[in-house]
Amino acid sequence: MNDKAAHPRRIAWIAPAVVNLILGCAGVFPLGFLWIFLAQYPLAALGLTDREPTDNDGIVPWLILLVGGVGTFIVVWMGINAGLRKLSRLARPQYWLFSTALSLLPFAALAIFPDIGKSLGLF
Amino acid sequence: MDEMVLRAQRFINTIYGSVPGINKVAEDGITGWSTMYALTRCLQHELGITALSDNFGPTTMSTLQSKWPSIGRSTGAPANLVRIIQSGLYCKGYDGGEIDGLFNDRVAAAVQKLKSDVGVSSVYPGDAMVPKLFKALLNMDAYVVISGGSSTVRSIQQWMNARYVNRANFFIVPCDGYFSRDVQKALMLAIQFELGMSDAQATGVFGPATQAGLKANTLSVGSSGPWVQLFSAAMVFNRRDGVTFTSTFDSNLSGKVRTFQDFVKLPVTGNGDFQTWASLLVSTGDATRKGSAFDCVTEITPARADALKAAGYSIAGRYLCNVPNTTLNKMIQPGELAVLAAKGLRVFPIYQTWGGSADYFRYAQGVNDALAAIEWARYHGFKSGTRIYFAVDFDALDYQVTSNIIPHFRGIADTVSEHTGGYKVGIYGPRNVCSRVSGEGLTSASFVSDMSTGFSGNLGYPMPTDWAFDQIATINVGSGAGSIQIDNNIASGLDDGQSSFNPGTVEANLDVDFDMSKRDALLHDIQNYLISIGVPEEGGSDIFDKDNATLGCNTTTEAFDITLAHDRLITSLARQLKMRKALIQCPILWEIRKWNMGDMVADGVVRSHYTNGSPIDKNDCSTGLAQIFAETAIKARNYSIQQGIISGTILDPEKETDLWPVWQKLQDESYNISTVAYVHIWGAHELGLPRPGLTTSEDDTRRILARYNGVTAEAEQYGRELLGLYKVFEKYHAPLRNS
Repeated sequence: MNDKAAHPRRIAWIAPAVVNLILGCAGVFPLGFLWIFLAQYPLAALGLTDREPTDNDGIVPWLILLVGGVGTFIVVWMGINAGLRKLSRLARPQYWLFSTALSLLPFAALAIFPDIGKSLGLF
Repeated sequence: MDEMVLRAQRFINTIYGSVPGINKVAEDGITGWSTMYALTRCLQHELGITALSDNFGPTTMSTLQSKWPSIGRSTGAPANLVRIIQSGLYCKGYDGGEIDGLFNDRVAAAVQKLKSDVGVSSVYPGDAMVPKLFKALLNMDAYVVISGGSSTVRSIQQWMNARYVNRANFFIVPCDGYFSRDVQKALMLAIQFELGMSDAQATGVFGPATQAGLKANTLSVGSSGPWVQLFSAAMVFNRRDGVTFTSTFDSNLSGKVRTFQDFVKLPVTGNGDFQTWASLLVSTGDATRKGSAFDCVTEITPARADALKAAGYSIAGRYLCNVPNTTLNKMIQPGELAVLAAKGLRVFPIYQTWGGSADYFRYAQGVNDALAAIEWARYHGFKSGTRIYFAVDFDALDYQVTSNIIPHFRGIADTVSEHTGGYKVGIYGPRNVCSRVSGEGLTSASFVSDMSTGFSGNLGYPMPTDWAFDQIATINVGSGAGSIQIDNNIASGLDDGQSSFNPGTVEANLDVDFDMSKRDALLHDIQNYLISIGVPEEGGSDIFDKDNATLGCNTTTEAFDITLAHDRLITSLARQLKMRKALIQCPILWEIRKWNMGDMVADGVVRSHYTNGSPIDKNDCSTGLAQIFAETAIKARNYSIQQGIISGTILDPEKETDLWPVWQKLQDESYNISTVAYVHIWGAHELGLPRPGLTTSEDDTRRILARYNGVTAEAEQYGRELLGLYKVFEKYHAPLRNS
C-alpha cells in the first residue's frame, strides 16, 4: 500500500523538475544580468567588485532593465511554479525549495564549471 | 481609393485577364501607369494588334486612325472599345457614364469636357473620341491645373494643342500648368512648324535649320502673331516675372526681355533676337558665345595662359584633386596657381572625385568631401573667401535631389561652416539640382552644367537665379605650346574667382587612408589584444563577466568594421586637426564593442524625457556611435570654437534647450565622430596637457583617452586599456603615413 502511494508522488516531481531545469537554462541570462547589476553598483560601492568604466550612464537604465527583465522572469517563474505546484499537489515548502534549487542549477554549473559555457559556445 | 477606377481595373482583369500580353492590374482603385498601360494594351488587342506594348505608338495610332477615326454615339464601335474609353475617362477624373459599353450622353459630355480642357474643342468639334485624344486619355498627363501649376502656362499648353494637334508628330501635351520636358519639346516643334518645316523635318531638335530660321525671325516692339506668342511662351516657361502670354511684342515685353538678357549676360537689346531665343530654348543658349571663364582638366602652362588671355578669358576653373585610383591628372599642378596669378587669370576651385550616380550622395559623404576639399584648398593656398564648387556630375532626377543631393550638400555646408574661416560652398550641376540645393540655402553660387542639353535636370528648368558660371561648350584655344581644350563658360559676375594665393600648406607626417588590404591583419591583432584584456570576440568570457551585457549586441569584428567604414572621415578629421587618427578610432571601436542594453535603455529614457515628459528625470546620457554625453559634446565644441579650431555657436551645457538638439545630433554618425576629436582636444585642455597632435607622448595619449571616459578612478583603467588599442592601430598607421 505504502509502495503504491509513494510511486505517484515520485512521478509528481518529474514535471516540476523538467520545467525548472528549462526555466533555469533560460534564467542564466536574467541571473547573469542580476550579477552584472550587483557587481556594477552595490558590490562595487562596498569595494567588493570593480566597476566597468565604459558604463557611465548611471544606475537608472540598469534598474529599469532589472525590473523589466529580471522582474518579468521572476513573475513568469513564480506563475508557472504556482500552477505546477497546485497541479502536482506537492507540499509547499519542499516544492519551492526544490524548484528554486533546480532553477539555479544551470547558473551554478556555469559558475563552477566555466568550461561548460565555453563548450556550449556561450562564452 | 476611387470606386469607378476600381471598376475600371475589374473590367480590365475580367475581360482581358486571360489575354496573353495583358497582365492583371492591382484592384486598388488608384489610377497609375500600370492601369493606363493595361488599358493601352486592351485597346491594341481590340484593334487586332498582336504585339502588345505599354506604348501608344505609331502602330496603335495608325491602326486606330484607319479602323476608328471617330468613336461616338452612332459610329457602331464595339462595346469593349467604348468601355476602354469609359475606363480611361474615370481614371482621368471624368464621368465615364458607367462602364457599360454604351456611348451615352454622359460619355459624350465627358469627351467634350476633355476636349475643352485640352484646348482642342475647335479642332475636334462634337463629342466623338478621336485617335490623338484617345492617346491623351491613356496616359498620366493632367489637363487641369494641378497644385502649384500656372494658369498662364496652362493657357499656352492649350494653345499649342489647338494650333498644332493636326501635325502628324505633335501629340497633345499636358495642360497642368507645369513646364516640363514634354512641353519644352512641344515648344521646339511648334517653332519648327512655324518655320515651315515639314512633319519629317520637324524633329524637336535645336539644329542648324531651326537656328537659321530663328536668326531670320528677330522680334521687336511692334511684332505680332504666332511668333510673338511662341516667344512670350518661352519667356513664361523660363519663369520671367510679369510676362504674359501675348501675340503682341510691346514695350512691356521688350522690358522683360532686357531683364532676361541682362540676367543671362546677353547683349541687352530688348529684342527677341537669335541669342535670346537660344537662351530661352536650350540650356546652352547660343553655344558659340565667347565666355570670359573656363574650366579644364589640363595644366595651364604660361604659354596656355597667354593663349587664354588672348582669347579673352580671365577666370579659370581648376580641380582641387584627382580622382583616387584613376590616371587622369586633372588637379592643379605645383606652381600652376602662381603662373595663373602672374598672367592675370583668376581661379575658382572645383572639387570632384566620384559623383556620377545618386548612390554616392549622402550626408556623411558630404562631410567627407567637404573635409577633403578644405584640406586640398589649403594645400593649394586658396585664401579665405574662396568658393569651392562641389560637383554633381550626373542627371539627377528631382526625387534624387531630395533624397540624396540635398542631404549631401547639407553635410558639405555644415562641415565647411564648422571647419573653415571663410570658404564658401558652390555647386556644379544641372539647373534643377543647382536651383534646389541653392533654394535650401546650402550653396551661394551655381556653376551650371548647361552643356548637357539632354539632361532632364536642364530641360524644362530655368537658369538658377544664383548662377555664377554657365558651361556651354567644349572648345580648343591656342595653338602649339599654347593649345588647350577647355569648357567655355559664361560668367555672371557673381564669382570672380581668386587672384592671389597663400604659399600653400604641405603637412608631413599626417595620417592617410587605411590600406584595406591590411584589414584582416589589423582585425586579428585587435581581437588578440582585446582578448588579452578580457574582452572576447562576443559577450563576456565567463558567467561573471560584465561584458555579458553586450551579448547579442556588437562583436569585436562588427565594431572594427563599423569603425573602419568611417576611415575616410576619421582620416580627414585627423589631418584637419593634426592629430593621430588612432586617437579618434580607439573610443569609437571600444564604445561600439561595449554598447549594451543599458545604453539602449538610457537613450530611451532621455528621448522619453524630452518627448513624452517621462517622470524619470534624466536629460542626458552617453549616446551615439562613440557614446558621448550631450553636455560633454557642448563643452568640447564650445572649447574648440573658443580656440578658433572650428566655427559655430556657443551653447549652454546646463540648458535643456541646448542639450536636446545636441543629443539628437549625436545620433548622426558624422557629427558623433567629429565630436570625438573635439572631446580629446577639450579633454587635454582640462588635464592641462598640450592639444593632442602628431607627437603627443604615450603617457599624454593615455591620459587623454582616460579623460574621454571621465575623471573617475575607473577612467584610468579605461585609459590604459585604450592605449593598448591605440598602439595596435598605430602599428598599422605609422608605416602607411611614412610610406
